[in-house]
Amino acid sequence: MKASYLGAMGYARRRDFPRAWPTPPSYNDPATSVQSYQDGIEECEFAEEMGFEWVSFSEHHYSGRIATGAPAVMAAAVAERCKTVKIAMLGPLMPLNNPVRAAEELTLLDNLTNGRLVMGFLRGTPNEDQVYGVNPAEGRGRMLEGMDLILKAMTEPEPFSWEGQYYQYRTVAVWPRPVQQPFPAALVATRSDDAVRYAAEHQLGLGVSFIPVDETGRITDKYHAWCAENGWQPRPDQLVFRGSIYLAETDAQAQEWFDRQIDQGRAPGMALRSSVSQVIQATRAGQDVDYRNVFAGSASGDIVGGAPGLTFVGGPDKVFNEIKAYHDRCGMGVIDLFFQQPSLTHADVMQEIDLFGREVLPRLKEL
Amino acid sequence: MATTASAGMVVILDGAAGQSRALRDGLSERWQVAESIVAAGSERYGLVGVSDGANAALQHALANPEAVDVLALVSPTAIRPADGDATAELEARLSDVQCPTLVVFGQEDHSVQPQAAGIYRARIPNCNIAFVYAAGHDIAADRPQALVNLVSDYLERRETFIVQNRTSVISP
Repeated sequence: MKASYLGAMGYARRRDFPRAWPTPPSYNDPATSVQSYQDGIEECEFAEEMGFEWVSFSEHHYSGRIATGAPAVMAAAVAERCKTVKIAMLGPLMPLNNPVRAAEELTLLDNLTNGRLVMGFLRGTPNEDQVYGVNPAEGRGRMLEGMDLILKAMTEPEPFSWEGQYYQYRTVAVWPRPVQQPFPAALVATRSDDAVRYAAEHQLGLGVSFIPVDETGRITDKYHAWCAENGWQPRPDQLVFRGSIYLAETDAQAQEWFDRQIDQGRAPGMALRSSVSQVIQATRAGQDVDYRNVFAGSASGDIVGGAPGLTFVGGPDKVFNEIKAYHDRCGMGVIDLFFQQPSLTHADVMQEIDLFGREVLPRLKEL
Repeated sequence: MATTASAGMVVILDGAAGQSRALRDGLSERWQVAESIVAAGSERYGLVGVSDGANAALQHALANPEAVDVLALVSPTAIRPADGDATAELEARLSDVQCPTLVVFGQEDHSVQPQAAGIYRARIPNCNIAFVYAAGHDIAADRPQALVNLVSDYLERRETFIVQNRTSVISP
């Protein structure tokens, strides 16, 4: 099993953010921000040194919690500092992005890294639907078409026109061609049947995030079955699970830290007003929205939702066994870990990477 | 797109499976549509072929360059690179096509070899290729409006159809 370090590049004072998304830009102090990115890059370098084989990037907007709204820019910077790890772009968010531009960024990254790119396609969390003005009801359709267009743009040798349902481009001729042929290692990050099927039908990998092992297993069972129906079986490194982690020397220390987080009762930066959340979910599901009822229930501006819970908490043995369960039950071959919990400092995270590299990673590699 | 004035004569050569009804209906809003070369009379005309009809249209355009002023091949199967010599002769003749040519494929058309599109584009001197998303071999059945809009736009604007002419102004 391989480990991946999520290069979240969180803003150092993210613990001070209000709960609701988006985080006002007034919370960003440029000097702190510059240092936060340097700290984040240092964490990626150290993760590589400690034996992580991937560094991943995620597209999240309007918040310093994962401060990479333009993940290709961040990936390019880290790729120049980390010379051996795979550079896993787990974005781009398909509904938001021009697929041709995404293809250009991805093939350029594959060239800059001489073929170390892994690309992941995903829809994004509900708050991301509010970025760039995409109708939540169209997110799934835009994702499915966008994936087709990106793969076509990477593989078609002559200039072509694309007549889509959501995209029309009369001239597509993406440069450079990817180093990895016919296209870079790719996965679909999803829990939805249609996108899991897409991955199986196109021989792409699968990414699943932040849900318990049994729930993950139900998704990977379908994926494996549909891959078999399509006449192939994925390699271990085509199955990626992303989880949040807090690792301490002992289970007791980890639990003590975790209890303090509960007491603080904050998951800054990703929650929404209940009215907005309700309307996004209904629109995504294709339901009519009665706005009078929505507003009546949330006149006070309640905030709902938040960051996903922690997946792995404990000392090295407990965390190893929790990760191993995803390998044994779901066939996960890569574990992508989000270390930058809101209350942690850069020094805390560096200590965790060190501990993980010494006590957990060598055992994962034997799986 | 509907207009009372005809923009010109278009001949549609249908495939054996008769896939072109939606295309014929759509184009007839703007074009004077004939269903055979004879019916077109002596004036120059645009030529649209669908599936087997596209193969016939290609042959006709090669044989009658003075008559065909624009060509659209929808789901053609004439070029099959993996079949070796079987289509090599026709491949070599593609450079003789003298009119602007659009070649259209359904993105899910598994009856066409993936390399075929690039061969038309590389060999025909003035050629654009287009892929219609969420469509198989019978594009007129799967995405009729997309096909009509694409072919009609090409018949009118030829290779300049790549220039966007829709406004993106939201609130003037």
